[in-house]
Amino acid sequence: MNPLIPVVVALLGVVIAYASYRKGRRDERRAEQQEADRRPNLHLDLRSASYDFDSAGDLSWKVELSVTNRSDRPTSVSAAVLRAHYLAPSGHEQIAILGSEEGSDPTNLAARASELLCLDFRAPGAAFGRSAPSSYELLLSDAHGEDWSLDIGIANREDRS
Amino acid sequence: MSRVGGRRPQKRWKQEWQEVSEPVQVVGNAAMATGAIAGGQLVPLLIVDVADRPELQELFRLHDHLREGEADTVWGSRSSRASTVILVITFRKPIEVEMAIEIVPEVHGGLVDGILQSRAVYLQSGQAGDRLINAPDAKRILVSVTTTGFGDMWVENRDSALMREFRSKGLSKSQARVAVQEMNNRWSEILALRMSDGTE
Repeated sequence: MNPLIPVVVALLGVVIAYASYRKGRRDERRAEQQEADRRPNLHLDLRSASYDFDSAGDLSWKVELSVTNRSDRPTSVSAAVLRAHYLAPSGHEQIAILGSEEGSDPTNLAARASELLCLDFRAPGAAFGRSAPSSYELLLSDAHGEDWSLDIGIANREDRS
Repeated sequence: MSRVGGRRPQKRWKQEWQEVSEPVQVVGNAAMATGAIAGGQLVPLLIVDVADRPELQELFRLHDHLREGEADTVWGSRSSRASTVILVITFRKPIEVEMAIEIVPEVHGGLVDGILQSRAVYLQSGQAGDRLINAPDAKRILVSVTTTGFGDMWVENRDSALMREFRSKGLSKSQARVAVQEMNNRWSEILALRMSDGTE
């Protein structure tokens, strides 16, 4: 028998084992990627945000943002909340949590799709001492229980024009 | 007056309490009944001293403007004093803040029965000596209280505390048992009062 045959067989075994290992790793990575794609993954992109005091002294905020569902799984945004940082009369910094107005809550998001969301928030101006809160954080909750946040600056509507 | 409703399911009754804020003092109490709230049942009112809790002062102030809120409630007790009941209210709107209220069964036992029955409690900020009758238009928050798993344990807890209280005042065991029963009957009569909403 040719003495090289066992060596060739051993080398062949190593090559087959390595190919099998590579395939296993590739399948594992693909499964992980598929799982990641199925997890909710929203990307928030602020388009515009403004506030104003109306004639009744109420503060109203309007926020427009593009929401992209980067996952392969349809989802929906179940709630939108604006966290407004303001100075309380006692002098300490406080965060008020404002829910979006009824009817402005979005929306179903197909897989890999984008939607433009228009959100309205309102509160009596007196609650904040007739000066708008200093900074804001927008939070969206999706149907799968994940929260997505975005720090935003909100300009006075009159100052912007 | 503003109203706060619960959103999430009630957590289980906690026998031991951990990591809650320092309880606020109940400096006064009363009960109110209106036809529109809790089916006209008596709803307990707790006057709590929040003078050293600016975030709770802000809660009362802001609630007066923003009206609707959101809160979760859970009942608990202290391991060092098992008979004492603590009602922890976690407000989520209009601000996120936790209020723990310590209730001593021997002093405020009927209030817990009232809260459990009406599933609600009014909160009003004040100082020692404040009474409902002196400030009928004071700002109040109405909190919806969930009771899962707590009611049965409370009855046992309350009766034991009352027994100890009557025994410490010199009553025999059988006399104390009768006194506890009479006291519970009296509270049941009071809590059975209903205010009609005028539609009947």
